[in-house]
Order: sequence, then structure tokens, then C-alpha cells
Amino acid sequence: MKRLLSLWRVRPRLTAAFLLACLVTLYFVGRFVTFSIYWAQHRDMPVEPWMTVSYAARSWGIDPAALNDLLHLPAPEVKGHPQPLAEIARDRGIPVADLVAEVEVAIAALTSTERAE
Amino acid sequence: MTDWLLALVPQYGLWLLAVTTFLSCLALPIPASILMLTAGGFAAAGELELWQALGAAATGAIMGDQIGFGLGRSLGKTVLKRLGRDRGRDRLLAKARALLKRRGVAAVFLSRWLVSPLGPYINLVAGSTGLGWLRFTLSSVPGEALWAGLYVGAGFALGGNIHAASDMLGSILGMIGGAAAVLILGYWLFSSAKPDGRT
Repeated sequence: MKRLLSLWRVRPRLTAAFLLACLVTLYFVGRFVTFSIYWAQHRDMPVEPWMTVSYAARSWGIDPAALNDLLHLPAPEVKGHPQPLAEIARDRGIPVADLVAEVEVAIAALTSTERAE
Repeated sequence: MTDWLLALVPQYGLWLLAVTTFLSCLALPIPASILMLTAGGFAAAGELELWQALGAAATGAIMGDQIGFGLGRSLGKTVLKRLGRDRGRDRLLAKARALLKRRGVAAVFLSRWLVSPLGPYINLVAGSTGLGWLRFTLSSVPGEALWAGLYVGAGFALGGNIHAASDMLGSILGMIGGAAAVLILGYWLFSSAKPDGRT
């Protein structure tokens, strides 16, 4: 501390920059710790229209095939590429929000049965 | 626009990824980092190959760097020549060249992944101030590989939770940048200034 004070008298700007860099680093360390704790408890990501069924299933740690069966969704092979929920909803002629809600209900059902087992 | 772009990943995956990182290296406002995180998530879900996603993202970025460097070299020279007619400016330009010569490799490497918003501009300056192509490329390639690895890898590791991945990665990069600044400034401060008043 004494050393810093005497340095401050000799090179105030450089000392200030050094202390500022220390504060910024501490801020990011704190941010990292907070996010690590938060995300360890909130691992799952809300279902969004751009996700495919596998993506949503992976994010919730459930079997994509089970989710597909429950929702009667098209398998990826139908169009030659995996389809995002937005595309499936368009093909079915329903609003994407409805399909997202359906997927969320199915995920909730599957996670509760998995927990029961 | 981001959601629309993300929905295209399953269909156009690798090409989309490469084009996105390519354009973002030319300073176009494209959410390349979110796209890379998502591609990592799709790789975790088994819909993209991880190594292919990494390769596509890095290749696009490396090509973008080359174009930026080339633009700096071809367009920069005429502008710089005009600026150099003024003696004061000419001295400044000489200083900039010298700095890039001394620290060019570090500046290019770090502006790929640690302070990536600076990247496109560094490309132009590096091209126009005459940083050698080989030195530029040798620092751009590992830098972009690291950039792609960090973002695609974070998306993969966090199983497609791109919010978590972006929060964690942002904090990690902040810590690295902060710690580097502490080390450099600390070294400078404690080695150059003597506490008894002599500098």
C-alpha cells in the first residue's frame, strides 16, 4: 500500500491506470463466478423458433426421438436437412408460437416421466 | 434478423457460417459470434460436425482477413501517399509503421479473438502500412482459429445454451484482457518508477 502511495506521487496517471485495470479484472472475475453459479442451476434454454427438435431436446437433456414421437414431428430425413420449428409450423399452417408451446408441454411431460423413472 | 439467420443454420450450416465470419471480418454488422455459438449448439445436438463447423468458421474469417489486408494494401497506398506529402504527418506515419513492425504480430493476433471488433480495421491499417503479408498471415491464421474455437467450442460445451455460453465467454475474455493489462501496466509501473522520486 505504501509502495503504491509513493508510486502515485511519482507517476499518478500510470498508477491510476494500473488500479483501474485491477478493478476491471476483479469485475470480470465476479461476473464469471456469478454466471457460473447462475447457469449451473439454469442449464436449460427456453425453446425458440429457430431451434430444431434435436437442439431443443439436447438443451433439456432429453432424447430427441422421444420428443419427435410425442409431437408427431417430421424426421430430419423428410427434407434432407433438419428443420427449425419455424419451418415446421409454416408447413403445418399454424403460428410458430403454438408449436413452441406444444414443444414446451412435451418437454415438461418427458422430463417429469424421466424423473419419475 | 438474428433469429431468421439462426433458423438457416440447420439447412445451410457450414456455408452460412463461413460467409458470416467472412463478412464480419470486413466490418459488416453481422452477428458472427452468436452464429458460431449456435453452430456449436447444433454440433452438440448432432446436426453439424464439430470439426467442420470449426473449420468453416475459421476459414471464412481467414479469407475475410486476406481481403481486408489486400484492400488496405491497394487502396491505402494512394491515400497514404497523399497524406505523406505533409512532413508532420509523414513522421506520424513512419511511427505507425514502426509500431506495427515491432508489435504488428501481437496487434493482429489479439484483434482476432480478444478485441475482435478492432479486427477489420487492423486488417486495413496492416495492409496499408506495409506489415509483411507473411507476418500478417502467420498471426491472422492462429488468431482466427482461436476465435472460432472459443465461440463454437463454448456453444458446444454448454449444450446449445447460447445465452450461458455468451455470458461465460464474455467474462473469460474480460478476465484475460484485464489480467494482461494488469501485468503490462504493473511491469511498466514497478520497473520504471523508483519510489524515491527518480524516474
